[in-house]
Formats: sequence, structure tokens, C-alpha cells
Amino acid sequence: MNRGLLRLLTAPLLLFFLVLVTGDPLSAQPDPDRAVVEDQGLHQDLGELPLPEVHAVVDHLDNLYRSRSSHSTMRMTVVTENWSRTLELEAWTQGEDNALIIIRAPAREAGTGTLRTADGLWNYAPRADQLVRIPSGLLSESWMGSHFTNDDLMRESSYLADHEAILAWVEEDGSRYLRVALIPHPDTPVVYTRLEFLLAGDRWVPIRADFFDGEECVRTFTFSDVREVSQRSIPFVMEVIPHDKPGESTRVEYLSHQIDIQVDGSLFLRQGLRRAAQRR
Amino acid sequence: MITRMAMKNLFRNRWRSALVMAGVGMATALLCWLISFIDGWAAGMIRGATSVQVGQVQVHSMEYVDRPTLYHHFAQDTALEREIEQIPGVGAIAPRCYAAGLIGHEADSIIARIVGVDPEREALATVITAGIVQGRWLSLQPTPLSMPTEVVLGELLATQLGVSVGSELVLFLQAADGALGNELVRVTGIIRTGNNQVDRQTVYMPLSALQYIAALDGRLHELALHVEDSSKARSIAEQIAGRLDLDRPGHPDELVVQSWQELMPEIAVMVELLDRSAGLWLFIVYLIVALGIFNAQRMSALERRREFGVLMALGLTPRQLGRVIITETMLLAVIGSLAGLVLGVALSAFHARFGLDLSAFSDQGTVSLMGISFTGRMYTSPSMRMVMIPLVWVVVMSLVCGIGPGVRSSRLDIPQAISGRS
Repeated sequence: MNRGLLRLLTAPLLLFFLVLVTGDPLSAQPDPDRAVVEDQGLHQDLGELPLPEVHAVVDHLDNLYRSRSSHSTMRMTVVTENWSRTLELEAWTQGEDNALIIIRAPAREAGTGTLRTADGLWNYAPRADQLVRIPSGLLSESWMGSHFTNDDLMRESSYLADHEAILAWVEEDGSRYLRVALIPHPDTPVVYTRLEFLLAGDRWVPIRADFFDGEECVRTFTFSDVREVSQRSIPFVMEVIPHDKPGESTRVEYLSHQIDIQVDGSLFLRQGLRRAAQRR
Repeated sequence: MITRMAMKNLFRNRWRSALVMAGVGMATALLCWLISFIDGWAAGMIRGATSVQVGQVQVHSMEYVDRPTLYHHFAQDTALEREIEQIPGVGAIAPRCYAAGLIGHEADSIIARIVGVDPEREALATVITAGIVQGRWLSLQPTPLSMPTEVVLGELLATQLGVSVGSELVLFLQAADGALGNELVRVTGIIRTGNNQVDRQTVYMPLSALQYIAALDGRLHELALHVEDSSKARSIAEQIAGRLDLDRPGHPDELVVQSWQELMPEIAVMVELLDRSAGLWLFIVYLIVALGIFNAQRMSALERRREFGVLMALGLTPRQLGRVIITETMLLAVIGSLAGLVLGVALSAFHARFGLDLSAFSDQGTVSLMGISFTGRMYTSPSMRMVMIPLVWVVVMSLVCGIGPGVRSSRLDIPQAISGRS
């Protein structure tokens, strides 16, 4: 395998993808009463603005990716050095563990899917009508040829429990953002050394996330087109830019997105998956 | 007359002559066998490194040599392949495609190196079919559409996935156009080659099947050539490169031809090193033997000073005396080494046929060197080299050893020698 690609892919993206897939939006609202000044040194940069309480923000980030259930259709555009292509995907989630993503177009790949349950991660091969388990050793491999990794679908670590967080107000292009720098504890199984979120507005909507390896930013996620779905603010577009592969990117946008709806639990079992995969 | 005198002299002290000859003989036998052993080792190493997979000469696209990826391929050209096959010394050509894919089943999967091969030509160009430990090689006829694609797995890969002949697996792989292909495959054979890469990571499937799944129709990543005499690989590679340089209308792909020495420089260095170490052994052993002969001849010449004095008083010229002594030495050495050669050749012929069990030297059943394992048995490779090299050395050495005592004896002072005072 191409080493550069592998390196790129090993940056664990945590469930960014599931942010979109589960689409869980800023359900945890910040409590203004709990916002206290955490760091005297930092807030001086941007006036006398108080920083919100660290726990609340990080907990909010952790919960960003959770919803009771969701059903969405997406368009994913992958651009690489050698090819670029567009896939249409349909996805369902249920609870924290269950997720199913199925490729609907192009026709050649239609029906190919990925199933995630509490027991693990599988790829579904429609031609063979079989599931193939992705062992944990392969979580850092590319998911469906995109710049996402399998790990992005299987986040195991918690921001709150496994990271140290530092908040700061930053200004970029004339706007003020809350920057959350997350530094993993030594034993956390992630390969980045620092992860920085930029959150906008009072509702802490993520607009960007940078993954660092040492001092170098290796991958950037950008979030845009924030829309209201079931009283939550959800970025409808996300783009992944690997910095060591100039010109390459993966862009995912929702075509439709519903959350907290009824999802048939059998989708996440073999029969239901097969039915869902073979439906056109 | 000189030879007869020399012979007679040798027979006068049979014990000494026999011991010297035995020493020379053992040394010769040892070296003779050692040369064939080292040649066998080197040949085994080259074979181990090349015969399973690499071949002795390979052709790739220019970009593939710099960065071997799925995207650097060239057009399959049967006319060119036929032309290359005409070059004397080229045995067979194996066209190949490579891809990385996820292969597995509901309980486990693994990233494997998928090699698309022409089953018939791959079997001719490599020894791959000899490695089959279960099932059979890919069938030469194309798989019927209704059947899953046939694959042959490396043994360790099969063990890791817990599959055997007849198992069905799913293969996912990213095609050259980015599409994610999935394919049901069926294990028809399992191979054990001793080559780690093959045994641990490789999945063989028919070339046309892989070309289809990976969107590489009519394209190849590699031509692997079998060259009968691996030492000629370099010159054959140059010949092929010469033909590729000719203007080939309609073939925009720039191709690069490499011999195994370029493909695996570390093996070439090892072979060179082995060869030199053989030279060193030769030198050391013969130095020791030469000292022994020299000592024996000097002693026997000193013992016979009186006799030599008488001979010279009777009219033997100093030159003749010197020649007698040199001849004695050479006779000892040549007869001894001929006997040694017989023994050495016989021994190495035996080991060439039945192999030498090396497992006694290793805790595991196999002896692994640079990723190439020798399955406990090493086969010597007898050649004219192993007879000629020790023979030439023996003649040179015995000449050198004989000259000293010969010259010294020829200079003796007759009255003093006869009176026994010198």
C-alpha cells in the first residue's frame, strides 16, 4: 500500500463522519450561568470576553454526534490524484452503535454497504451477498476509497474522558470563534497529537477541525451550510482536506436528513441489510 | 628418470607420503565440497529470491519503477512478448497485474496483495505450482461465468483467515478508476513457497478477472521473465531494453527492463559475498596444507642430505636433484588431491542429489536468510569449478612448496653432505 496514503488515513477522524451520518446536532445547549472564566491569560487577547466552562463545551462536542436515530441521503465527491467520482449514499443510524450506509449510485457499486453495530464493523458485498468483517487492525484504512477512514465510523475515544481541553477565543477573517484544543491523554488510541475545533456562535456550531501530528496540521475538516433540522443546527456540507495530498479532498453533503425518526432495527441485521441494499 | 626416482623416493617412506597425501586429499575434498556447497547456497538464494515470483528479469512502466502503484501500468502487447520470447535464454514470460484488496469473510478480513496472472504462463515462468500444498493451481481454462473467480492463497494468509480449499471469500478492491469492486472468490489452492511475501500476503487470481475488477482491461503492471541461467539475466535485460528502445509506433508507454541483480541488489551483494568468502576459505585451507607439505618435504630433504650428496657425487646435477624433489612434492600433492577430488565430488554429488540436512543447526524446521527460507535441506551445486579451482591451487602450491627444499638441496656441498657434517 502507498505509505503516504496510509499515513494520511491513520489520522483518526473520530466520528466526524458520523456527525453527518447521525447528523446529531448541537443538542446540548450551553448554559450561560455555568460559563466561567477559565483562563485569565487567554481571554485577554479578545477583550474581556469570558470563556465558557470547559466541561460543557467538550461534553457538547462529544454529544454532537449522538442522536436517537436518523435517516439521510448524501452525495459524496472524492477527488484524488488519479480519479474523481461522486457517490450517492443512503444512511441510517440508531442509538450510539448502529449505523448502516449503502451506496446507491453509481450503478456498478450500488448495494455495497458498511454496517456498524456494537459488535464491530462490516462491509457488505452485494454481488456475493456477504458481509466481511473489518478487523480492528484495518480501522485506519480508507473507507470506500474516500479520505475517511473506517475509524471515522467507529470512534472509540471520548473527548471528555480521553483528552485534555484548552479553550480560547480566536479571531479569523473578522469573526470571533471559540477554539477548543483537544490533546489526547498518553494512552488514548489515536494518532493525532492535537485536535482543534473552531466553534461559531452561541450554539457552538463547528465550522472547522484541524488534526495535528506534532506541530504539523495533517488534515482539515470544514463544516458549512448549517441548517435547522428538528431545532438543531446541522452543517449540511463537510469537506475533508488531507494536507499531504495536494488537490485531493472528499466532500459530503446531505441531500435529505431526518433525525429522531422511527428506524427499523432489523436494518442492522443481515436480512434487513440485504433488503435495504437490494432496494433501488 | 626423474619421475621414477621421485616415485621410488616416495615409496621409501610410505607412512610419511601417505599422511601428506591424506592431508592434501582431505583439504581438497573439503574445498571441492565447500565450493559446490557455496555455489548451491548462492544458487538456492537466487532461486529462492527469483524463481517463485520475481523471475530473473522484469519489465515495468517507467513510473511504476519509481512508485509502484495501481495507476502505473502499460498496454499488454502480445507481439512484443513473442519477440522477447525469441531471445535465446529467455524461458517464459509471465504478464501480471497487482492490486491491494481487502479479502475475507464474515468473521475476519485482511489486506492482501492481489496478483493477476496468466495461469499457464505463470506456471511456466515460475515454480509457483511446486509450492501447492493443498488443492490445485488456477485452472488454465477461464472460469465459467456462473462460478466464483478462482484464487490461490499463500498458506499463512489462509491460516490467518482460517480458510481452506473450497472456501468462498469476498474481495473488495479499489479499481483504477476509483470504483469499489466486490467479487466472490473461491479458494482452489493454497501455496507454501518459503517466500514470506507470497506466503503471508499474496492472493493469485486469473489475470483477466483482476483486470476486469480493477478496471485495467488490456493493461499490465509487470512482465516477469524466466531466464534459464540466472547469471545471464543482465545481458538479456540489456538485449530487451535495446529492442524496446527501437521506435515502437503506437506504444507510448515508456518501459524499463531490470535484471534480478537490479531488482534485488541485496541478494546480488550476498551472492558476491559468498563467492568471496569461498575464496578466503580456499586460501586459508591451502595455506595450512601448504605449510604441512613444506614441512614434510623439508624434513625429508634434510634427512636425505647424505644420500643426495652421494647421488651428486655419482653425477646427478644440482638441477636434476632439484627437479626430483619438486617432482616428489607435486606427485604427493597431485595424487593426494586427485583422491580428495574423488571424495569431494562423490560427497557433493550425494548432497546435490539428496541434500544436506541443515535443520540440526536451527531450532525451527527452516533456515531463513533474508526472508528466503531454506526448508532445512541445502543442495550442493556441483560444477567444473569445484574440480578445477582446487586442482590449480594444488599444482601452484606444490610447486611453491617444492622449490624451497629443492633449491636448498641442490646447493649442498658434496663432501660435507657425505660426511654428514652439514
